[in-house]
Parts: sequence; structure tokens; C-alpha cells
Amino acid sequence: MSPHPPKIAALEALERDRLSEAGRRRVERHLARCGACREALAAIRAYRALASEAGEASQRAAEAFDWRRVEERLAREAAELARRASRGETRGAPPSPTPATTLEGARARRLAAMAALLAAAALLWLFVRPQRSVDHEPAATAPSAPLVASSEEPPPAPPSASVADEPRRPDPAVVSLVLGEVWLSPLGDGAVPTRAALGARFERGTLETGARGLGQFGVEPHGADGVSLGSVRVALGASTRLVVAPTALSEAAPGTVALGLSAGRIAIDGFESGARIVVLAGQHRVEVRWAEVTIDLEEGAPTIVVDTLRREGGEVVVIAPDGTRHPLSADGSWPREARTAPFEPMTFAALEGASLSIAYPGAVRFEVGAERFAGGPELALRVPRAPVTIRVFDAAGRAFRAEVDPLGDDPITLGPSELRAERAERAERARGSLRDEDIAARLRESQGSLRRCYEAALRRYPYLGSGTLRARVSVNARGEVREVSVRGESIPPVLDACIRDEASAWRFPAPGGDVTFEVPLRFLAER
Amino acid sequence: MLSFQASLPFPTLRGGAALERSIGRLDARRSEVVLEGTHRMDPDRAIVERALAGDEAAFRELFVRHREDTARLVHRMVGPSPEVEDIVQEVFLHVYRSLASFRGDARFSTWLYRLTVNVTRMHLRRRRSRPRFADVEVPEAGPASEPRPLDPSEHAEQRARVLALYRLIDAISEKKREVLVLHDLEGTPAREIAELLSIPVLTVRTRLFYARKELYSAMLEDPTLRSIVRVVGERLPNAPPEAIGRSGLGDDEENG
Repeated sequence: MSPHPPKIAALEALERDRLSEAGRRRVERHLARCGACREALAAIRAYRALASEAGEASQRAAEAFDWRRVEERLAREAAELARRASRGETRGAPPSPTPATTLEGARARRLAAMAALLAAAALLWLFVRPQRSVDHEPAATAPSAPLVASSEEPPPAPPSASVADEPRRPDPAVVSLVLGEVWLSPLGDGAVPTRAALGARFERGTLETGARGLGQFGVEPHGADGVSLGSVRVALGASTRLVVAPTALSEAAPGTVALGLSAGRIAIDGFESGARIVVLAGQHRVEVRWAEVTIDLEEGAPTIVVDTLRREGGEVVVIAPDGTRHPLSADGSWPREARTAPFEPMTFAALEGASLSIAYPGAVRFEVGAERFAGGPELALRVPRAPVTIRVFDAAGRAFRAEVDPLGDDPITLGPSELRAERAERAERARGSLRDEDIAARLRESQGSLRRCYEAALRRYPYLGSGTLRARVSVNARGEVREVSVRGESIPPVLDACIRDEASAWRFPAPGGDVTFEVPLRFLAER
Repeated sequence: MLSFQASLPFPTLRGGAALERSIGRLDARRSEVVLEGTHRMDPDRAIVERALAGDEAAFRELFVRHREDTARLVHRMVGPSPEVEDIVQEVFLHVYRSLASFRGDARFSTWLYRLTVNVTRMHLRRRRSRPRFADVEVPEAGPASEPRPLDPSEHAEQRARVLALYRLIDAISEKKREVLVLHDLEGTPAREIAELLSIPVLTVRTRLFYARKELYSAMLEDPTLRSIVRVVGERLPNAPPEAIGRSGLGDDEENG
């Protein structure tokens, strides 16, 4: 089976029936031979059903809610509020309701206080039930007033929206693909009235979107020669944005996708891979990596607004016709004086995953899980908090490997001492042997730790019952555990990781060569 | 060989007629939450004004009109939990504390919707800072008040599935979780979520995409949901029997 990461966007488009006939057939043909994609599609379908179930469960719960208790508690709170108001205490007033534009100064405060008192009195009257002792929530935990009531004006709309909403922009964006292939697929709620064959691999011709909607314009690198396959003409309507999302780049050779923008606007969201997206906008060249930018080209002059840098290492560089390079920051724009970008900054700290840094002298290529990165000798990125295999390649093609399991927020740094040469290991793998008694003795010593692993998994997965797993352990010539894998179906990740951690620490008498053995681990839940 | 699946009491699709029904009407559900409009079209405007003017019955009218929607939204954001009642109560306390600050720029239902999201968000933040050791069993609804009673075993299975789903949703970051729940469970359109959270629509869609993607991967690692994915996968047309569950998303284990 092909081991590529499933193309979630395309599978969702299929599942939500948003593919053209040709696109659907193409995806289905691919599905017939791609187990990973079938599994992803099954997950998508199962999730949709579960989401529907969860929504209905909430509806039923709301319909069966015990409102009497809520009313009683509200009545108590109302009584307390009224009591405090009568004593002139401020608690119970709206939490910083902020001066409303329609009310000003002292008059506003008086009216607000009166309104609060009226509401309290109304509640007191309405919910008068046997009044018990007051057990109100601490005021300190009160959330801020609703957004409507806040003095904070909502942030201005992003430039693309504000400009796009103006009627003066019916002009189509003309985008030509300079390098790579084009994959058009829908994104969103079905509001993608594209007449073109969505989901179809585009090769030649003209595409037009409807007046509204959002299309995802995915780009896949072209295979061998990397030359242009055609051009795409996308008519962008009043509020349409074209999003370039190179979701599939990571699986291909790292490199560059180049687009030529002749006119109009293109929004680039390089959010999933570290590949560089180049937009040739008139005489300017814009290089985007891990960033969300909007580029407008009018009369040959680009206006570039950086909406968000998606992660550390994200960058947007404008190369002017004279060759000068102008890196833009997250709130940068081009020309400098054009405007600043109102955007919701995505701070790096808010990003998911653990920080991973790899530095290996002579490294020219990296693999982090299924992701591939060119260049070296250093790489910094964020990785999901899950076990991941890292391979580093030098110019001679030698591979060095490490496995990490990011659990917390601590950054992980890998250097030569953490990376083992794969070929050297293979050379070391000679025949060896271990006595069954040595293996059994080691297992007995670890019994308590393994039981704790299981108990921890039981706490997290109350459904977990009894069962047998098999741990496959590879030991090197020195008796050190080189690799552990746990086999079995439906193993909770926490149990898998815990067993592997425990077994990785085992030491055996030197077997004189490589040994791999498998042991059954039987767990019984007492109920 | 191991047979966790055979020997463990994981909920299966046996008797999962409710899930079958859900699969069959995936596109039917879309609740209407209107974030636009002015007080001229706001059916609650007059009641709010009466409440602020001291009409004793008006506040209760607001409460009765909106309590069910509020409880549903909170339940969808939090999942089956005894905390739902506390949060709903907190929402209505804030309503009457803050009603004077309601300017009428938006509908009252919009204002309440935002308030509910804000209050629930604060609650979830507090909850996330507390350690959790196990799921809490919560009786959801009495049989008398069930509008569509389920077979008890079916109900239990459905409940196990919903709990499992929320366990995974809980692991998603707050920003993505919010968008996912509002869009996929509550049925709020992306444009309205963007307005509600004051973020670009593109950001909503991006967060939604990644939230779902994380969820798909997590489902394949979850003991309860993985078996469901497998069953669903086996029903895909022309499914090779060995294809599902042995490769790809979230499963690094090599065969053999």
C-alpha cells in the first residue's frame, strides 16, 4: 500500500459530495488501492456520524433539563444581588459593562445601575422560592461581558474582506502555474459554486469560480521535469478568495511551487508544509513559507499583506525588481507605507506541538515522521506530541536516526550524540542469542512497572479490559535494547508508550550479536 | 495473538441503529443561528425593553424562551457532564447582571449566544487547569422526558460513543476545539463563527480543517472509536478486507 499521508481535503470533498463526476471517479480509483486513504475516509465518515449523534444527544439533554434546580439557584442569586444592591455594594453590577455608545458618563452609570436593580428585583419576584443560604460563585471568576457589550470594537475585517467587499473589484485574478500541478478542491460549507471540475487534477484550460465562495487551490509539485502544465484563470467575485494550500507538498521532493499572478488577488496559505511558494507578481517576486499572505496586483504593482506567520521559521520575502530583498514580518506589508495588516496574530506559543531542533554537521536532508525537509545542517520545527522517528541524511546518503516521544512542552534538541548511524547499526547486527531464563528474569523484574503502565491506561480508558499484547524487543550485541514495538489492536497510546519506555531500559547479558525476540504481555482487569 | 478487540468490552456497532441513522442523515442537520439583523427584526427586543423597564414577567419570558437553546449549546461545547447545569446557570446570572449593557446592535439571541460561548470558554479553561482522572457518569435524560427514546442498550452504546468523542475533542487546543464544536456539532456556519470569534473566515476554516484532522488521527488510536472506524471502513464499497486499520493514518505499525 502506498504510505503517503491521506489527502484529507480531497476525501472530505468526496464524503460531502462536492466533487465533480470525474473528480469522484479519480478519487475512488485511488481509494481502491490506498489503504491509508480508505482508513482516513472511514474516520471521516465515522466522525460525521458521531458528530451528528453528539449533537442529537445535546438536544435531548437540553429538552430534558431540570430547570427547577436552575431556577432555584437563580432565585438565591437574585436575592443576594438585591441584598447587596440595597446595601450599596457594587457586586452584582454588570461586570465592567463598559460605556455604551448610546449612553454616556454618569447618566450611563445611573441607568445601568437602575437596570441592574430592576433586573434583580424582577428576578427576585420571579424566582421567589424557599430562600436558603446564599452560595454564590466568587465574583473573581466572572468572565468578561459579552462581546457586544464590550468597549472593544471588533477588530477590523481583514484586508482581503474589506477590499473584496467593495464593488469595484469584479476583475478576475489571473494566475498561471509556473511550476507544479494543480489540484482544485472545495473547502467549506458547500458554498463553492465553482463551475469547474472541483477535485479534478487540472492540466490545461480555464477555470472560473462563481461570484461568491471560497475555493481551495491546492498545488502539487510536478513530477520529473517540474515544468508548467498550463495556466489557471480564476474569476474572483465580490468576496471570493483564492487559497493556495500546498497540502501535499510534504510528501514530494521538497522544493518550490511557483505561481504567476498577472492581475487581481491571490491569498496564499502555506500552512502545512515548509515548502516555499513563489508568486511572481508583476516585476516582483514574493517568497512565502509557512505564512498566510494576500497579494493584490493592480497595474503591475503588488500590494502584499502578511496575515499570519504560521509557525517559527515562517517567512515572507519580497524581492523587488532591482534584486533587493525585503523580509516582511507577521504584520508587515508591501509597499511599506501601504497599510498594516489587521490580523489575528497566531503567536508561536499558541501553536500546537513540541519544539524540535536538530543540528547535525554535514546534514543535507531531514525526515521527521512523514515530513521531509531539504537543506541543513539544522532544522527547527514543531512536532505533534506523539512518538516520531527522525532521520538525518548527509551528502553521502548516510542516514542517522533517532526516535523521540515529545510529551510535554520541553523543547527537544537532537545532535550527533542522539542520532545513531543506521548503516553502522546494520553492520553491527550479527547473530546473537539470549537464554530464555534471562528474558524471563528481566520480565519478572519489570512486572510491577508494567502493571503500573496498565493501571495508568485503565484510568484514562475506563473501557479497557483484559487482553494480551506482544512486545517485540531488539537487543544489540552489548545487551542493550535497541528497539521496542508493541503489537496488538486498539492499544491505547499511553499504554504503548509506557511499555516501550519500560522495555527500552532493559539490559541483558551481552548476546554477542543482534537478537530480536517477542514476549506476550497479558493484562487482566479486575472488576 | 492479541485480541484486545475480542475480549474487551468496547462498545461496538452491534445494535448501533442510532449510529446507522446518523450516517444516513448526515446532511439533514443544520441549525439556524442568525448572527445578523437589527432590533427591528429582533423578536426579543420588546421583551428586553420590558425587562429593563421593570416588567417582572419579561425576564422570565426571556429565560424560558432561550434556556433550552442555551443548554444545548453548553452541552455541545462541554459534552455530557454535570457541569452543564452550573454553566447554564452562570450564563443566566450574567444575563441579568449584564442586560443593561445590551445595546441592541445585534439580536438578543446573538448576544446571548456570544455570552454563552464566553462563559463556557472560561469554564473550560478552568476545567483544563484541573487534573482529570476519569470520566464522570452523568444521567442525561429520564425516560419520561425523552422525546425519542432509544433502546437501553442502544442508548448506552451511543452514550459511550459520545463520551469517547468528547474525550478526544477535549484534547484539541481551545481555539480549534471551539470552531469544531460550533461548526460540526452546533451547526453554526463558518462565517458566523468568524463573526462570533472576531477572526477571519479563512482562519475558521483552517482551524476546522486541522481540528478534524487531529480528530481523525485520534479516533484511530482510541479503543472505542477505532472499532467503529473499522466497521465503517469495512462497509466502504469494494473494501479490501485487509485494508482498513492496517496502514496509514495514525497507525505506524508495520504488518508482519
